[in-house]
Amino acid sequence: MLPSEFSEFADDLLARLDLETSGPITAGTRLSDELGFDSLTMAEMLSCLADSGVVLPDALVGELSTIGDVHHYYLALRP
Amino acid sequence: MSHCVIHGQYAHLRPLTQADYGRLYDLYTSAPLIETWRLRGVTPSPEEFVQFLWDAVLVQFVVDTGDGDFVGLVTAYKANFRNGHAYIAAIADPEYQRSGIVVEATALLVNYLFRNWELRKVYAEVLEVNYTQFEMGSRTIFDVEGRLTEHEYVGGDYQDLLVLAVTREKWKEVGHRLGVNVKDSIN
Repeated sequence: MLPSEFSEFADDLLARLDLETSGPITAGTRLSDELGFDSLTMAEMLSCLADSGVVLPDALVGELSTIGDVHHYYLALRP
Repeated sequence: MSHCVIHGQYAHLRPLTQADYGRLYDLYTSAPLIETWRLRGVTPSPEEFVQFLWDAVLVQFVVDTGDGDFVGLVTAYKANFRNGHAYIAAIADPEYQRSGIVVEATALLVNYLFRNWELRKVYAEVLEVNYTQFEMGSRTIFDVEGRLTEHEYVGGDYQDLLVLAVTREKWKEVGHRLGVNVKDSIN
């Protein structure tokens, strides 16, 4: 499971993805532009969420643009 | 629509049928894929397109979402069983290109290849312009094994063609990162 609190959630998730960040992470931090997410990283993230029991509806998969989006849906959909 | 044969969390893979040809022709000939993907700018006749789709193919699957929406196609081709390797390619509807679904589908294909054939390595040929779109993720999965400098004329410039590779041994270590149950499926 991933932590509930945002900063812990972000730190844990980014560590699992082997992503290093230079600045502070906020809910508005953009996956693509600021964290360098590409389609492979996105797939790894979806796999991390699935390991925590969270599978996003298909319609949402392409709609994630910030780390806050990911956190929001994680909290909403976790078992 | 044919039956789904491989299920991922998001990607559902099924055999390619004639009913998919029109949609795939539209996808391959849409901008910017017509220039940067495998057709490299040409618009083949319908007959030539079908030949292109099946040229040297070992196995390929149409990728759908769980809701049945069309995502794209993943293909394994140019299998060389004497030397134990094959090539893969993938194409996705622009709506899904950054979603991770086609990557999951590609991972399912790679796992399928290692599970069903005694392959040592799987290669992917990628133009430099396409590689930069997933450079970060590719470091964890694929290694760049070759670079053909200024190999192809695309979009007004000569571009490098990169040969990426993942070995069976590396796949067993990293495949799970893409949600594939490697441990129970390949040896």
